[in-house]
Amino acid sequence: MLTEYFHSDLKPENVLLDSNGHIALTDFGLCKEQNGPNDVAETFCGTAEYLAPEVLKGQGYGKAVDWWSLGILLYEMLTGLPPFFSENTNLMYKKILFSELTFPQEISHNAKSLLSGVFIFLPYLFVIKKTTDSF
Amino acid sequence: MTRDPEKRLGANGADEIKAHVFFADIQFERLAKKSVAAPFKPTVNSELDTSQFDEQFLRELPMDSLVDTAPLPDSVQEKFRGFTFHGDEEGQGVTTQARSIRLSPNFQPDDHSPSNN
Repeated sequence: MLTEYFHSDLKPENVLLDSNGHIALTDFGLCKEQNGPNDVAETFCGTAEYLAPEVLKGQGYGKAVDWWSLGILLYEMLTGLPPFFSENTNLMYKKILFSELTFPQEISHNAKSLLSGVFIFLPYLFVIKKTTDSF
Repeated sequence: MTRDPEKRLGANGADEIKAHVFFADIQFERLAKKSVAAPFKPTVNSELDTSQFDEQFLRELPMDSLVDTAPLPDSVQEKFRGFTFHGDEEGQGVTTQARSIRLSPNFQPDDHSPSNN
């Protein structure tokens, strides 16, 4: 049986650089074991800005939470803030669940395409179109 | 618009993400082998050199925040052999960080209707 792990708490402070500049992921304290695609976790943990909608809704969740968090992390690296950020945590949770995804003007087409695929699933608009053009 | 995790890019495996045109220039196998030169190397004098960490974090008092529910099973703990920190022999002592939270099982944002902003 294929066993995979997911991290559950991807965020900037858990991505370290070693002395050669290579990335080291840290803090696997919340990581989960996933035995097959239908095995779900039901304890709710992570970090507010990076929580996936299914975690907030109290649904069981799986390794797809890491792709959500990776998207948040990438968005933050590109723009300086997570996409659904608010000082008010409860408002932030609502934005994670309900707000449209918006991009600052300087974000490239390819980055928008990737992030849209992670957050809002527009695959036929963006993702399938493989192009080497950069915008 | 959907936030369905089953339809999320990556739901069918990491290759979905890696194949995206955004990553067209990335050679993932070489990256995993650390054979791609990093664009930035932090300057450190020794393993204990903390000069690259922000003062804000250096001022924090170190503390364990132990996870009170089930620790990782031994089979999982074993994966972290060689890491600088892992749980003790009893499988306890898994740390989390300050910003990490644990929501109560009956957690709900106070209102599930869409916000107006």
